[in-house]
Amino acid sequence: MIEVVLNTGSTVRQGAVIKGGRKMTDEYVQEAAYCELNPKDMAQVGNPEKVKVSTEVGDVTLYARIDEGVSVGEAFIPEAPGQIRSSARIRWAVARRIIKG
Amino acid sequence: MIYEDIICPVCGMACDDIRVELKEGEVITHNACLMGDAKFQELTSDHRIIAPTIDGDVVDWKDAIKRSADMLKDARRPLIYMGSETSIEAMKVGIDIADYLGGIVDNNASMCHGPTVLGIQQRGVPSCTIGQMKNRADTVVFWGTNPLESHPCHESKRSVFPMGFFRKRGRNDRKIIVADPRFTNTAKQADLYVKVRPGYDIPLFSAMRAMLRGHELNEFTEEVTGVDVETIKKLMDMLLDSEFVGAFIGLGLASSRGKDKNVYILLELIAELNAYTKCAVIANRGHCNVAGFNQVCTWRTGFPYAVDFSRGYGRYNPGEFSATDVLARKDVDAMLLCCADLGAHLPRKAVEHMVDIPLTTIDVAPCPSTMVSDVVLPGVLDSMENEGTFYRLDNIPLRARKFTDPPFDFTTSNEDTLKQIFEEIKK
Repeated sequence: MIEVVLNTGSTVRQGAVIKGGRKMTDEYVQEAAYCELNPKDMAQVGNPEKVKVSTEVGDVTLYARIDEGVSVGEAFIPEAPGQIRSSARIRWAVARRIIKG
Repeated sequence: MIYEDIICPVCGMACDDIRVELKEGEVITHNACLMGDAKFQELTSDHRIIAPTIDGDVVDWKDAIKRSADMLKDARRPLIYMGSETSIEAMKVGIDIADYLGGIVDNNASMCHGPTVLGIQQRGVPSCTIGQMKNRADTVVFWGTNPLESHPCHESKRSVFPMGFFRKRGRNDRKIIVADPRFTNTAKQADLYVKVRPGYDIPLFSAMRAMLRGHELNEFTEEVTGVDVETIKKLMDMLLDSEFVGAFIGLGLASSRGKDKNVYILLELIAELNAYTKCAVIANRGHCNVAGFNQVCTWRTGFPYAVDFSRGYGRYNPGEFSATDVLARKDVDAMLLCCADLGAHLPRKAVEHMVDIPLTTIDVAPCPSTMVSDVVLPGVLDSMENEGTFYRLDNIPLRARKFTDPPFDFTTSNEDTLKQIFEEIKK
């Protein structure tokens, strides 16, 4: 486990999925559900396929990617953590919707 | 058919040079970026919402309008959330509904550049149009923004590469400074890259002001800001040697630790820089018409966003009346959501309350928000299927022309839909 500063932002490919109304597709998960780390940090956590990112408000498991533009001790996740959990969120929303009637 | 000079309703750039070719079931765009093209493809997409639904069942349009109006009328304090990818004419009706019902009106501004607006309210902003930036700026600064990803046509059409009146050689007549914790694609083009320690913009701006006033910076500067004194000196030299500095700021300032104070201190620095050179600043607004909401809300209510009418007059207090907060605190008991997908973007606690209260959503595509809505009304693609006014990120209004019709006949625009709901509410 390593401690990092979480940074977020938008990406053009993620934007294309959102603007194209394709949020309910796997493409959205591909373009938003990843966490970029510096190669050194990635090596330190054992170069995994996925990483679990935890903050004080919750946690999420994401695909791990290497980006040399991200500094050691930092992590980049597209947009907000709320978005990247969309597929889980949608399932949860449907469940809530059924309960709501 | 080919349509020229169409306005793109996606990012804050509101590009006004899009060429759209409509063929049988096919949309071909020119001059549009990946995001813009994706939006224009919505015209022929197979997932487009074309029929109103109540609880997931297709219903008559009038019944859906009546149900939406009844849900809002029955509420004690409804939230009207106007998204940004619609015209200001629709936004005006949304604000009027909130005013009439004694509810709350808010917009994407409260969760993106809201802190920038607060900083500007505290200090005032020396600004100009993005056209003036193109014609005059010989130093372009991108602070906390990565336009290659967020505003893909920014550099090619407006800020870095195009020929300007006083910058005939385009990129060769401009110096680019990028300040960002990440070495982004924008940073790769920079003449000077300033690697700010995340959340430490205020100490860096303070160090720059100290240097401007002739103070010596010590070794602790780098320890605090992450930037060495030599780089700060180089940065200040570049700024002071410029004839015109065009600064673009992004959510790296507005959403980092310090929030509105980051912007406030930056504006203080720019005021001091203006004693030596000319410097103007523009916020890289994310959505097409988010600047428009701030404009229309200000001239309707006196405040730019997060306005509460529950006492019969407008009150403004971001953090208290902003959508995320009123939903998370369960302060509203019905919601009208227009052209925004809060179901996918807000914190879980806020979305939980969206699920629990009567919710009407106006949208063009299925999304988490439509899935948790009681009533879903088909949205109209503004600037494609109806005309309207859009404000670019530099607060310049642009009139968008329509070039095709909506795939239904019960409404002509989002403004029309909201007006029909408003009329039903007044009955």
